[in-house]
Amino acid sequence: MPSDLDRQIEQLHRCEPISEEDVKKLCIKAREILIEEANVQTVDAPVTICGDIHGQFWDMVELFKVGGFCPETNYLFMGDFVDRGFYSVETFLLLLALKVRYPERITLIRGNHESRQITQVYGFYDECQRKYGSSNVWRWCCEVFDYLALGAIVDGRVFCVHGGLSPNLQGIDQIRAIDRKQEVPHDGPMCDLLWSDPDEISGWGLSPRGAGFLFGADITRRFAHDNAIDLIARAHQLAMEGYKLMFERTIVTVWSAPNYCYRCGNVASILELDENLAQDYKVFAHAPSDVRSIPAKRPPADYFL
Amino acid sequence: MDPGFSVDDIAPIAILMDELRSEDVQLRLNAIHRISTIALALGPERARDELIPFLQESVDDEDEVLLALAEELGMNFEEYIGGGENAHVLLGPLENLCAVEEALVRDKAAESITKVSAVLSQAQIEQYYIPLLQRLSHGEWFTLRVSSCALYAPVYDRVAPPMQDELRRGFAGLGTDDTPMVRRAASKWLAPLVKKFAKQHVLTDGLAIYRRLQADDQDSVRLLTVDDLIAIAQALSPAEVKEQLLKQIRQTVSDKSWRVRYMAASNFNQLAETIGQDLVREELIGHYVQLLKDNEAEARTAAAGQIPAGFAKLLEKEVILARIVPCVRDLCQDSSQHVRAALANQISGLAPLLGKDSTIEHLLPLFLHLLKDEFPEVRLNIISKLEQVNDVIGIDLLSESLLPAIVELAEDKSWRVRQAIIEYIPLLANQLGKAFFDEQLGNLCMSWLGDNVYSIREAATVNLKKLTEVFGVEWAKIQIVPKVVGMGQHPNYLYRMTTVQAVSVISPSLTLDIVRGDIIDTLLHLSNDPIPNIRFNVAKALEVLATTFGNTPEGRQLVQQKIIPALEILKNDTDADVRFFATRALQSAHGVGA
Amino acid sequence: MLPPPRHTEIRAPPDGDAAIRATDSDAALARLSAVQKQYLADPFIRHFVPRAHLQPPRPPLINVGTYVRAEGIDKLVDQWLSLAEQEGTDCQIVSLGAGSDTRFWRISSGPRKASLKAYVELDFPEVTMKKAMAIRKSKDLSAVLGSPDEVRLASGGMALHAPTYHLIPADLRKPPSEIFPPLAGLLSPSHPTLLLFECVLVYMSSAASAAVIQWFVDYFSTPSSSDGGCGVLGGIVYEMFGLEDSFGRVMKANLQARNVSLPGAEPYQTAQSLPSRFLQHGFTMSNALTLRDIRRAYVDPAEQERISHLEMLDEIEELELVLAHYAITWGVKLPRESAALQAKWADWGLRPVRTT
Repeated sequence: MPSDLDRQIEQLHRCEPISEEDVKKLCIKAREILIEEANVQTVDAPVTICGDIHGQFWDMVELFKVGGFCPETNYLFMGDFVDRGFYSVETFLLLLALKVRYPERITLIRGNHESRQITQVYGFYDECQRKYGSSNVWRWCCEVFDYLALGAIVDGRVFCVHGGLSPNLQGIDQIRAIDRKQEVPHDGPMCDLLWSDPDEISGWGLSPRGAGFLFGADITRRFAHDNAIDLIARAHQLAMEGYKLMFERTIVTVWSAPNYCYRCGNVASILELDENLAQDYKVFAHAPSDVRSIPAKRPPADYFL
Repeated sequence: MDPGFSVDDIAPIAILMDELRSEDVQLRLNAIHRISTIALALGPERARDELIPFLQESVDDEDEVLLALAEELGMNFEEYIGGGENAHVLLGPLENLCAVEEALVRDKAAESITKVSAVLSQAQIEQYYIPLLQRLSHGEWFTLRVSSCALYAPVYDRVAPPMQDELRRGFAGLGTDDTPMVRRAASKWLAPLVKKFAKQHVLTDGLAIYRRLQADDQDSVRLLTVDDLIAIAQALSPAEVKEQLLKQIRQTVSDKSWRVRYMAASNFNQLAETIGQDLVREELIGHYVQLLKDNEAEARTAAAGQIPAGFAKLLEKEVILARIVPCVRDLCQDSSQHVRAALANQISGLAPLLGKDSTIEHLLPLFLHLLKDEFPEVRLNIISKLEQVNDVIGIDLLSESLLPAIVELAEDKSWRVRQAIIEYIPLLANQLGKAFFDEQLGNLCMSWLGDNVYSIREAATVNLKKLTEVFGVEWAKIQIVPKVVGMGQHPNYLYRMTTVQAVSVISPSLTLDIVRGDIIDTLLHLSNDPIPNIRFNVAKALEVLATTFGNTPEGRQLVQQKIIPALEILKNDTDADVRFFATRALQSAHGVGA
Repeated sequence: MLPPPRHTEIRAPPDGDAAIRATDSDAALARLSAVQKQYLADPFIRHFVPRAHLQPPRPPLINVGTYVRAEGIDKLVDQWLSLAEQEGTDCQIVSLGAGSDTRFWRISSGPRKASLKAYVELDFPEVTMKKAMAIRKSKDLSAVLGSPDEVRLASGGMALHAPTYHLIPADLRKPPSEIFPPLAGLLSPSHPTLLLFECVLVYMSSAASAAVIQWFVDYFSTPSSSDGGCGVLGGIVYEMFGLEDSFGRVMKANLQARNVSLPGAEPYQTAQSLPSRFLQHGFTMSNALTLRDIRRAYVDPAEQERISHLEMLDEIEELELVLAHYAITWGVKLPRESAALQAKWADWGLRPVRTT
């Protein structure tokens, strides 16, 4: 098995999709591993925490060049692997292959884009159709999405989640009680974990995204205090400087898709936690243009012209 | 073909129609790519009578699908409809495709018509092709007339002289069409047509059509006449060129639209070869220099890109020095980073043309200037091409003048610039010699081991290995090994990790003595590291040591006494990956130990 | 050793015009998508997009932006027509770089049809020719123009004239004295006239766009020979601006890769700088709003609510970042004897429906 997987990892690392048959086997294996993981997966430091990737495969390769490849470096990806970029298939399958090959070295948690509904609007579904000629690969990947953990906690001190907090969840223990193996619901605690955003308000507010909530510094501090954690690390929001610390460093947004959508002009970052949980944010830019990052046949640029 | 698809009991055309109605473009596309299979199933007669008319009348689809259809019909499709004598039947659907708005489809359709024309007999050409060409040339919509322009050259030399006269007149008409799109197509297709003209007709019709287009009020028409100019010039003698074309050449290379000038610049080599060196030196050089000073950054970029590759080669060294180098000096200060980046990529190509002394005098200061450019791409382009300069002026001089800049770039905030510098270090080391190297660059090389970017740390270890190969193991034992091993005590695991990985990379270039005396204990100590990533990298490093040194009795002793016991412990580690790599390493170790 | 040399390919000469013309199909596709997803209502756009029923929708962000842009400009144009009604006259609209815009058909099949004296569209000949083809092919489009014997093609199919509607080929970067003379017979200098520039000036040099606007200013300050009056002149510009930040630099680079450059954005680095577009030509009033501002505070809450349910929007930061780089600028120039005017032309503009 490792040699087969090692070959697939090599192939995917060149941004070449693996066969449909291999995807099917990989997804079955992945589910076997993920089903054993907790809703809030326990992770040991040192670990490198990453935010949204969104199918920007060559930028993820850039990320690995800066942070080191797996298994040499331990990784925790906080969701939104797919949609928007040109290479969601290769991106997610590479991460999944690494997960199956090195389950202890890499942790994948679910983002709001790891959902059947969202991937049909934002590109992953179409990309699977285009690259495999059917929706099978999309379907199997979505089944894997349902098994992804909702959060992770590093050495008991750093809580990681894609979006943020929920008014229905005061403690991490309550998250453990959710039945996560389903499509992301439109509301409720599981939805909130994947959709909410911190904001300069007090208490809770309505989210302009149409799902999840906004939460203020008071909510964040109380959650950190009640659960004895030092930091909440989350992704979900574009940060032009790659990361954004808020509320006296109790929460940080880590964004790992440089020049998001090949349009936003932002830099990206990863958060390296060393064995003592010291934080080191590594900022990086998008892959240079001579690394083939955009397919020869471009879709129309998403501008208003 | 899909399994279960039986052509005998279902009408293939009905299936095709069905598939072409699908909502999914991919399915419609697949259907089009299968039309040859369907034609085969139908047999030549029904393919002619049913399939081709259907394709001619019913297909209105996405450009992508139409493009595929245009392509399929040009891929020897006549084989499916009864061979060459029936090939003209294909012209029907292709004529329709010549009318669509998307230029890619029209171009492909014209290309396929050209391919079909090759298998037509003269009689078929006269009976079917020429009428089609006339319909297109006089079509109401400009798309038809645009398509027609491409279709004159393929058959011109296959029809009788009276018809040739008519074709020249027809093409001349397209060259004066009301709509610029048609005139543009005429400009584009004049060159291949002119090549088929008899010399007398080049001088009469060819020149007239060209001159009209070259003076068009649209620059998009004019810029396409550069190829026509070359085609006509090739048919004429140098004297005729000077007499007939000099005015046009001047107008083109100094056109008021920079896009025309750009086009002329990009074709300077070909133009120069065609018109002879005299005209190049009398005429073109002046215009080229103007282009290097053009108002448009894009034009300057294009011109800068021509410097060594082509145009300069045609000139004498004195001319380059007098006319080109001053422009290059200005371009180093250009306000556009793209111009500077293009220049940085090309400037070192001037060195071989100028020779050692002139390069030192004129180019070296410019390299130094560009090495300090604020844009990383400019710096990177210069560094990547330094080897070319080495060859001309020698490393001594290069390193002497460049060393300070290199030391500065070694700490550049762009890690790719740092990487480019690291990859240049072994070459420098080779030339500088140990003493000078240790003094100037030694610390730098060690500091990269602690870089905050993984790839740089990795490149740093590879660099140490290459340096070991340059300076020898005794040098490595003193200069490298103590520092690498020392990092194994670092409180931050990333440094300890670098130690382990550096040992893996460098050890094969060291001796067993050094490994046994200076390295192995640190490695064994790190096999107890609390971080599993370190432990399985120790296992990998031990595997390297075992396979590298296990082929001698002393080496086997090291394997038996130190390596295998450590791996035996790691094999039972709490971490699965440590167990995996330790087990694999043990197999290798036992393999060599046996 | 050294990294491999990068290829410097000899590129085809950048045919900037073809690329700029292609921006029109982008705009038409975006509009079609917004219509198909029910952001906008427009029965005409599908006639300008080949095989419209097969076109995939654009991303939600583009649909939302297209909606905000259309909503803002529609409101301004509608107000203009209403001011003309209050003034007791009919008015003229000149759309420069009109592309496949459907505004003429929408106005002419709507309640303010009678306020329209003339509607002139100018664009590259390639574009006007395509548009003329599309109009001739579609019964729906032709019917709005008038009876068939009143509609004629001209200039070899590049121009089209109907009683109210005129489609004219022109390269707006050429000197106005070369391109605008055909307008003289079509536009009365004494009627209120609105100039529309939707994503057109940004592709031209500032000098060329200033020359275009100044030509109209001069034309409408020369008293009409028939009734001696001068008409109110209005202008609306919609395009990108503020392109010196990191988002803007990427936009310029991305568009440059498609051979589209944006020299016209150069002088406009901030929203505050936008009104100078008109004020430098002596306009009486000018204002500008970014699409972000318009989305936040100038869209009716009920509409906002309706839009938010059409598609799930995943990324607000990105939407705001994009919308903050587009603006609608409008300005009006009143004639010297403006005391005689009946309508409050100087009040023309977008009004907030809520505070941010």
